[in-house]
Amino acid sequence: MIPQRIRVKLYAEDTSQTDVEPFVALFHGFIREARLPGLWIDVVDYGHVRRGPGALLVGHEADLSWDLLDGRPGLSYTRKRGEAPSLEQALRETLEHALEAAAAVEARSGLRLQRQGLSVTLIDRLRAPREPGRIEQLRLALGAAAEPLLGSRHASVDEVSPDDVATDRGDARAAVTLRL
Amino acid sequence: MTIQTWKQALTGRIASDLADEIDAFEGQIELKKQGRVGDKLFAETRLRRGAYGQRYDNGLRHDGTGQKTLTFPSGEITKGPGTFWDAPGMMRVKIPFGAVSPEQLEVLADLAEEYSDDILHVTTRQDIQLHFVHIEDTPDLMRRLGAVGITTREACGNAVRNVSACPYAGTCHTESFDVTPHAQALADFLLGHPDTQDFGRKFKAAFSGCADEPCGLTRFHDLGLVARERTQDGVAVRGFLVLVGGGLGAVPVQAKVLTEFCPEQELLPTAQALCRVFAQHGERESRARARLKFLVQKLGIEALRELVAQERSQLLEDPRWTAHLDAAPADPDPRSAPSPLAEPGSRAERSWQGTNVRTQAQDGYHVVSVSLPLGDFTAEQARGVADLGRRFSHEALRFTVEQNVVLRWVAGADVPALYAALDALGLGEDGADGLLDPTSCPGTDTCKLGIASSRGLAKELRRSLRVVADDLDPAVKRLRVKMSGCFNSCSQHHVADLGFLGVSRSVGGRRVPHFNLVLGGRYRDNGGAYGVVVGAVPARNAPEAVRLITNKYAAERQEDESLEAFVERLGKAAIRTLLAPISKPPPYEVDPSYYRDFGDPREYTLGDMGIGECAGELVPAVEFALSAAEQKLWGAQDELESGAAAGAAGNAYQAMLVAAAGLVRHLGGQVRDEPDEVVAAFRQHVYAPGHFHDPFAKDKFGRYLFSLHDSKAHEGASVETAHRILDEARLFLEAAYACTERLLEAGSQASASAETAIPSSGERA
Ligand code: SF4
Repeated sequence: MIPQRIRVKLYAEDTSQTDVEPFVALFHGFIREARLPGLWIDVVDYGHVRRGPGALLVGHEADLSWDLLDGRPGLSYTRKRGEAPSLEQALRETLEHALEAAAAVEARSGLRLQRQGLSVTLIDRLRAPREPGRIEQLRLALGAAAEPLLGSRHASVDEVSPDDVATDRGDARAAVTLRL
Repeated sequence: MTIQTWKQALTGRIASDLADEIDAFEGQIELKKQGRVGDKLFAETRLRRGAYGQRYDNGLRHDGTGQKTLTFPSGEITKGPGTFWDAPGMMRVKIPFGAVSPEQLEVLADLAEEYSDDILHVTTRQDIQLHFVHIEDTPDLMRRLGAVGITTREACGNAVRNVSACPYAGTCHTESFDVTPHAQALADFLLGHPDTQDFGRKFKAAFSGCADEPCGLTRFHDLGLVARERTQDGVAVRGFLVLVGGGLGAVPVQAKVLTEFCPEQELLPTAQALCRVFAQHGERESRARARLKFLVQKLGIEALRELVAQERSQLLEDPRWTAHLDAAPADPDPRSAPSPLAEPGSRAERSWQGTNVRTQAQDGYHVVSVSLPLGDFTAEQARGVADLGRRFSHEALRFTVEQNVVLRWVAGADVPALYAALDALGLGEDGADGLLDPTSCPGTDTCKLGIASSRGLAKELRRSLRVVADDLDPAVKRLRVKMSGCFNSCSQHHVADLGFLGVSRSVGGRRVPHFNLVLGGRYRDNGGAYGVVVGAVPARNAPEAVRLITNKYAAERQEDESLEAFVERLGKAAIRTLLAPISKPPPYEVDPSYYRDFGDPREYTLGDMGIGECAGELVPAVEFALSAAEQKLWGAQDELESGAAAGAAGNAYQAMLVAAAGLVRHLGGQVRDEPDEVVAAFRQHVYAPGHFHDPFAKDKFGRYLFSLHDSKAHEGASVETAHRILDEARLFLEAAYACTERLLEAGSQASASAETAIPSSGERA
């Protein structure tokens, strides 16, 4: 089964880039100029939420955000819907769109985004549960999907929370995140 | 069998009637897609299941250069009149009295990530809202909630909305008794009850454990219930003060006393009888007058009381009326033994303890408020809070009407560890419920009715005030500030110390977001008094208005004087003088930022975008008329303040006439300043052609003038009547501003000779 939501995050090279306001304006510009393919609806400023979605460009097929959800600034592309014949294809399409959005953001903002250490989160507890067999399948599919776009990559699994939330028990319910 | 769907995965884990209802709703979705269900019916169906519309769902959005069409892939399929199928919507999740278990909160977090935008938003009525949800995701979302005992049923629509209650119930020093079991019983009893299915409008109920504190805000609910104990034959008997017909919205009304003491076993049947009266006698035609408050106004409280008594006498006995009274009280089962509050480890923690921790009636335990900025927290933070609930509280968490969440039964010795954990989650801010923690409705962020960005203002206030927080007078820090994006008052700004509501003004041919400042509200006494509008300032200047007023309050207040009393002593005229220097925006050419809303780089002006530079130098005569009407209304407020109720009401009526005459003349009509003539001409030239119709409130505001003119209620008006007339006149005037803007946008100004040239100095608002 293909997860309904897949998020690819590219991290900022400059980790001090935590102010989301410039991205609110940038994303409004993206809507106005139809800068990215797909239907883009509105921009939300979540700058007041610590470790939040930051500047969020809401779309129909996907969302784009300059966020701090895992504590590090970066650009997330979240696929929300779409038909794909296979998991590998869905992952590849998401990576492609994320890289395209990254290039657009870089071109307008002058910021640099890393192409290493991307995180890929499968936000779907029905189709991508935190189960060893399923995660291995996802890992292999992601490695294959990434190769034509990023070169040969090993996908590794974040076993627990994407970050150390100050709880003792670990974040067992967090969606599965893999690193590329 | 491989599990493919949530329906399969959750089989047997959802109460069967709820599971059936959700299946039926999913069926309705399919039928709607096939065009076999009408728009209105489907809209009310989904509203009753909590699936609400959101801004831009009509497929139109201004991108800063012009209005553009959002071409949703589903084409012409709609999910209600003018509401496109694929447009993101809001899902309201009903949380009775805001109580959630850690497990329920974790599921809400999962849903925020999988169907929404990672954010859980706490509302001012203790619900949770998820935004940007697709209608086709809602059945699974409901199933996953259903599996942990939450329903979204009747979260919206013409139904009994979430039953709210004081979040400290059961732990509070001042309560008569814990209202939690009663609130739960009422919520369960009225949910889906046949007597609540045929209302003309929504119905809101709230509980409070005592009369004096604000927590239950029972005075502005359709049904407000305040716990009381009486001694009868030497035995303490529990019951409730029952208040009915309160409401905020466009015209706020204080609830009336239905009965001073309703014994607890009579509570549910009394509520049922009231619902039956509301369903039978409430307004059906005009949505604008369909809330219970209008029925109370129409019938009078005596007649309503009689009707309720009659209905009550005819009800068939129902065992559910008293089942909750026999149940053993819930055991809070705290995590740790009671202990004194531990010393804070840092200055920040000391400040946090001062504002976010309160003692319980039970020695050694505390209620800890978690400040959620603007009511928002992420899925990851929600999971963290759920976890902390398990570790430190072991009892349900509760959302508050101030858009925060509280953990109860926290032992004093655990408080520092809890603070450290919250801080690590990014949730360690102090100032809960006070000036540093404003309450805001969604406003223009997501609400279709938003006029100005209430959340943008709240963010800006938080940002600017936190910088100077250490220097703020403690009494100032405790002030409550609430902002609504429009007159519907969802933030409950009428009872705030400092209230704001979004309005728009035309300046030099461009629109400028403004906020009306509302002062004089009383939060205590369950929302005991409503504030009044003292002036409008451009949105950009609203933080400065807060600074000016709070500085003056800090410098000149008498000992223990509330802001309400201070404003009363100072007088509204003095407040207006204080605000005068910031009440007008500079010309666009000097500072265009005034012509944008907070957090939005698009120009706020919509239709005015095309107007050339010279338009900024011409002011239509109607704007002068509106200004004159404004002056009259301010005068009315001053009179009311000085106790001249009838004079105030008369002036408010005059203000409406002046504005009405201005509009008539703007549209080319001829009229003398004679009331009958003005009203007739207004009806003919402005009202009948629909110019005055608000896109959402329809003809409601125009009818205020007709009804006042016919009834002459301003003559010899009592203080209460004068208050209502002033509120109505304020709304009429706001509608006149909006009407003028629409007319100007449509280019329907009367001839240029009606316009008066003034210098383009931006002096006019
Ligand atoms: S007050 Fe107005 S803008 Fe705010 S949520 Fe209510 S209807 Fe929307």
